[in-house]
Amino acid sequence: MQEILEKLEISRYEPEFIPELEKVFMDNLYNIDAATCLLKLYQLNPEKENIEIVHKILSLALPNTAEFWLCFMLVSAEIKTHQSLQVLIQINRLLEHCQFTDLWELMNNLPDTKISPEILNPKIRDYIKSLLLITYQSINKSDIKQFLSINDDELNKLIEENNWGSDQETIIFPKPTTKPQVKIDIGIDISRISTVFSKMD
Amino acid sequence: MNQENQNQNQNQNQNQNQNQNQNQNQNQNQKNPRNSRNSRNQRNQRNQNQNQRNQNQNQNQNQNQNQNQNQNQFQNQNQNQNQNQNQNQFQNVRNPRNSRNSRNRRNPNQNQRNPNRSPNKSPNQRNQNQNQNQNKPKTQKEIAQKEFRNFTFELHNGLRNNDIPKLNDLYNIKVVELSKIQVSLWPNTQEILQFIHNISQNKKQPQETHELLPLLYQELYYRYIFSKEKPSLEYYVKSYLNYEELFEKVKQPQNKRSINLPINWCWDIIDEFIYQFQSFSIFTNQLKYPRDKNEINELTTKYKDIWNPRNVLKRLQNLSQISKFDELQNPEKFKIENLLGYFSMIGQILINTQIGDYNLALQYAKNFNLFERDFYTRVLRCSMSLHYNVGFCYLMTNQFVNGIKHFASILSYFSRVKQNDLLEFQQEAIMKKVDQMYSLLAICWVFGSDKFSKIPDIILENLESKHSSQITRIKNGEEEALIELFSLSTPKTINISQAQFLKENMIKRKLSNQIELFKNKMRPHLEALKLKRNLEMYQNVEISKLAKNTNKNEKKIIEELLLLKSRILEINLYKNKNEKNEKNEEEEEINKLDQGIQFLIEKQTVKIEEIKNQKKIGAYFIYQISNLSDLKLNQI
Repeated sequence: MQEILEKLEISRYEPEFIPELEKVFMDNLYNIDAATCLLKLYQLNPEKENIEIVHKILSLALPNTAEFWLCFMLVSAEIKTHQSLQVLIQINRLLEHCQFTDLWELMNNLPDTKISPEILNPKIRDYIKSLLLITYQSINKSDIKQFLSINDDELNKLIEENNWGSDQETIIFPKPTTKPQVKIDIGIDISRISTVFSKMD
Repeated sequence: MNQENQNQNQNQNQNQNQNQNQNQNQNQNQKNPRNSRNSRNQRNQRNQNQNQRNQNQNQNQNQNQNQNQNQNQFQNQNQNQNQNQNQNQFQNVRNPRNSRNSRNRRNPNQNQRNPNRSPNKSPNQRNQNQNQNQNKPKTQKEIAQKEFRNFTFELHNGLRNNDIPKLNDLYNIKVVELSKIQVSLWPNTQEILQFIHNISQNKKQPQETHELLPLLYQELYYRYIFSKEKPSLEYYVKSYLNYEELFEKVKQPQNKRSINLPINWCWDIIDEFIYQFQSFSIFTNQLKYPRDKNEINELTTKYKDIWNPRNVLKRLQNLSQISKFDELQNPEKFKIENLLGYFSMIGQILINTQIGDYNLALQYAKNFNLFERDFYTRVLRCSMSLHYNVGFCYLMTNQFVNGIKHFASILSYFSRVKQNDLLEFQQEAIMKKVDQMYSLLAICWVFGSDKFSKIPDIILENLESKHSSQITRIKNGEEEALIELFSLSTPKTINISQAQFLKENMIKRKLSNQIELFKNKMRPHLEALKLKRNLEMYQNVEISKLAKNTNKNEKKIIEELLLLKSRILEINLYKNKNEKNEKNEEEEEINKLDQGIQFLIEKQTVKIEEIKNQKKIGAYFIYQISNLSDLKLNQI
């Protein structure tokens, strides 16, 4: 991966790099720079455009809603309305709007067989989990099961792994460590004070 | 040797022909009853110009323009002109520069018909006639010719002697004056080269023109055309070929001697290059089948490479790689390749924002110091373009507070700085850009945070006076106000998709509508704004109460709360990429503001934290005291 990225820095617009870049994504690795570069190359060399790879890129970018959008901007106009991409767009929209119950409904009944749920679902779950961690201090067990689409056993596993406090009904997340401490900061540098006093006569 | 003499003769012939025409025009003023001949001469003049232009076109399409070749074509052109002008009877012309004797020596064939010349008159009387002719009011063409003659001579000297102050004056003052002359009166490249030929020949100095001089002149010429008229396909082609040649020669200079160009000029070359690329993509979009069938055919066959995005992008990347930035520290060494390379890096940022690759543009922007004096700040237009595009990238990647920071800094810089050295159309462009930046700032302001402390008051005032109504409308959730602001201020997108050229019948390209995309992107954020306002009012609030306030069900409220929080994850993504070791206060403040309202949901209530901005009064005072005492010291 590093090699291709280094090569890209030298010259980004050589069509010879297309096969190498495609291989990166076929191996299910993902990098935003490589993705945007490949999509641009597809736009410049439309005869080499491979809609499967585009599909792959977008599906790998799904867990990061911001990057999905960046990649989507660069997909050429002809392909944007292609049918196979519509499902991905829908998934992204549900993720963005945080409509997680609808999302899992869709993911469990995927009409499109090209998206591999085994790879995608864990990533989406991770994303939702991190989101819940920063949003909630304590959450109902039923809610979290809905959001993550997991059953009781898996939930208990999660609780154990992460050392969350749990009640009968609720899970208590640990208090966030990023709470800002109250700093009494009048913002005066000692060095500055000395210069001021030295200049005063 | 013979050839040289021939060249000189033919140069003089052309000069004389021109002077002939001038004399004839002057003779018109003397109430010469030669109407038919005058009109014929006017027609000849027009034909002459047309022929020159046609031949110029043919010549421009040849990519090798060695000087010898120029001279050869010169000869051909002169011969053609002489053939066309057999109606002209005035072959002997008073050339005030050459003396009569030397002229006779060089052109023995000249003493044929010259009705103007009466052999019985004494030389003194003839000279008096000459003087009379000179004192008559000159035509516009003559004035233009004279201006350009001076200009090219000074340019030629400036380039030869690497005289930077002179070149600066030339570009900042002279070109502005020249741009007021009508485009039809601008001489073509052959005439320019000939001016230098003549002048340097008279002064018996070496005549070697720098190979870039005609290309630079043509670049100015096409820039002028693009600003004043709506150019046809022909001009796009010619201008593109000119740029290609110019950049190629900069990359591999033949003489191995590089020239220094003023910084403004170099930036303008790159800026215009990108502008013409953008305007070409708009032009091709507007071509319709079958109305513009010829042009479409030409584009798909002959002109496949003209303004091809692949070439343009590659060219910018190449330029940025050949330059040595270290040399830019030393003002003596502002060579053209270094300057062009530096500005082409900025050009890459511009072009990537227009294509839609915001990520890459932001990566390139890291090479520049955006908030302090850097090399590019010497050119105001460059700073404006750079900050506008970088701010736009931040807007599109949801980093709103960074966008606010950029827009605020450039707008306050602009309000402090005066610009005098701008052409008329450039001044309009800058004012338009300032307006656009205010609109984008308004969008960032709404979605980011209105608590950013580093915005100068004057900017805030301007923002309120211009966009306060739209801001309140957006805060109420109205989408149209957002679209209004956005559609006015977005940079024109360039679609680099090549697909349409491969299809035979030109189906109109489906443009991905940027505005639609933006709307879809911002919709969830827009809907969450109302909730945000509600949250700001409370410290602890039940979800059910929020639901009542905003007329939504609880499930929707929870979703929106999660959405507000999802921004934190986004911001962390970018924070990890920045990898800045120094955590200065400003960055922390921006991160905090970007994360939005801090809250936590506990069971059914939402607990909200307030962000308090502590005004650092002490630091402010100390800063001002030290500034004042510095001033005092400097005065003494």
